[in-house]
Amino acid sequence: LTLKDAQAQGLVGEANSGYIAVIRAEEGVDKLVAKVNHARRKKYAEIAKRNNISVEQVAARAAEKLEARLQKGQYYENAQGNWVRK
Amino acid sequence: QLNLSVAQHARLKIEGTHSLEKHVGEVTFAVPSIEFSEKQSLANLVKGLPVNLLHGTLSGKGAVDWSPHTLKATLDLDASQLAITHRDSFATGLSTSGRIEYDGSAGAVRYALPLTIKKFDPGIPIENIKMRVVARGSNKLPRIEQFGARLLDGDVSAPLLVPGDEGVFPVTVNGLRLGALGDALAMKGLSMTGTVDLQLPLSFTDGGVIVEDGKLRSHAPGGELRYYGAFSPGTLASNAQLALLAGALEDYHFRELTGSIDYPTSGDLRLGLRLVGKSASLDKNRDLILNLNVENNILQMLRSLQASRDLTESLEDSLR
Amino acid sequence: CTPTVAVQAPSEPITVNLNVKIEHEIRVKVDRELEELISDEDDIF
Repeated sequence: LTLKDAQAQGLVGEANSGYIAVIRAEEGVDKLVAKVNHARRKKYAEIAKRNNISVEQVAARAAEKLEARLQKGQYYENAQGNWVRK
Repeated sequence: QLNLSVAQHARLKIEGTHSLEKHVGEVTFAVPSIEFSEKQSLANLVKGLPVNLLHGTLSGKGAVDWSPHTLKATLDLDASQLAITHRDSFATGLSTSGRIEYDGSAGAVRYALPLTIKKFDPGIPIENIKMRVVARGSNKLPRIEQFGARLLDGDVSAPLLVPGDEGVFPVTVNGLRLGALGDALAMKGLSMTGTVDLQLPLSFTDGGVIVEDGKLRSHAPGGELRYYGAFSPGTLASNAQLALLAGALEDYHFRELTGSIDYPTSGDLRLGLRLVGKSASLDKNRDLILNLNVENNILQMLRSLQASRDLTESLEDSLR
Repeated sequence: CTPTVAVQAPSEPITVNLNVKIEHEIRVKVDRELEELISDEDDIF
């Protein structure tokens, strides 16, 4: 199960935190979410360290960019914290 | 008689004598001028320094002489148009020259070095910096005299600054342009005009530089404060009074801006501002007085400004 | 005749108190690095 497929099938969504979250817990989704978020956190930490700011700030900024590039129909968390489809 | 002579090392020439019986001797050394550049920077010559020199020339010569009871040293230094980087800040056009004398028996260092820096940029550029750095023998603390600089189109000046001294040192900034401050902050939706004078009683503490009971006053005829998108659409919809204020903030003209300034070691600048003016959209005939308590962490601001630029690019622009 | 002076009621000023805390979000250089990261690491973004 790849991230692209999971997003297309509405299994995962882009959270405001800069990480992905489970929308429908089907076979393999939890494992994918854990793998992807672990990898993202490592990359965010590198950028944070290089620019002397917190990882959360980097992740929050990434969330804005990631939500903007989602395809129609894919899930994301809106400002009020609800899961909506683009 | 011990002759000390080191063949001219690529950069350093040392010569000296020492009389074993009389324990008297002297050494002279000279560093013919080193030209720093992008390719030949200080970091290439000496590893692990927190500072890098990548432009300008540096030269020096000196002498040390000693006898059983005395030790004297002089160093003549000449630095011109140095460009220095330190973490995410840089300085360009740093020049100084003069003599530093050390008298071992009195343990006193004496020098009076004129220092000019074309630009020091920790995130917001401070330009045309001039000062004299002076040490007068007995008093160990170096003094900064006649400090002057340009900041956000305002003239900064301080007659005397003695880092490490408990005193309070007055610093004034005249004609700081709020528009330049707005550009530097580059905050979405904020635009300001008008100029202000600042009085900043500065003191040095273990935790760093602080300002207590600073004052701020605008020049006549005042200026404009425009802040779009002060509140999110959600809050505006739910709060009529806030919507009124948001409208007023979008066309507010002040006749007078006065305020207090406090800057603690935490870096959290606190401004207590009072603006007297009008907003046509709110009420053409009645004054609108804004009491603004502004908190802005300067260290965070500078770090954010540093994070948002490419150090080498900005340095190259300044060297052009 | 005695001049009549119309004393217009002084319209009192409106006073508003506002606390503003300026937060410094991240800026352009970090954005650039993020954009590169997002396009390079296609499998996790």
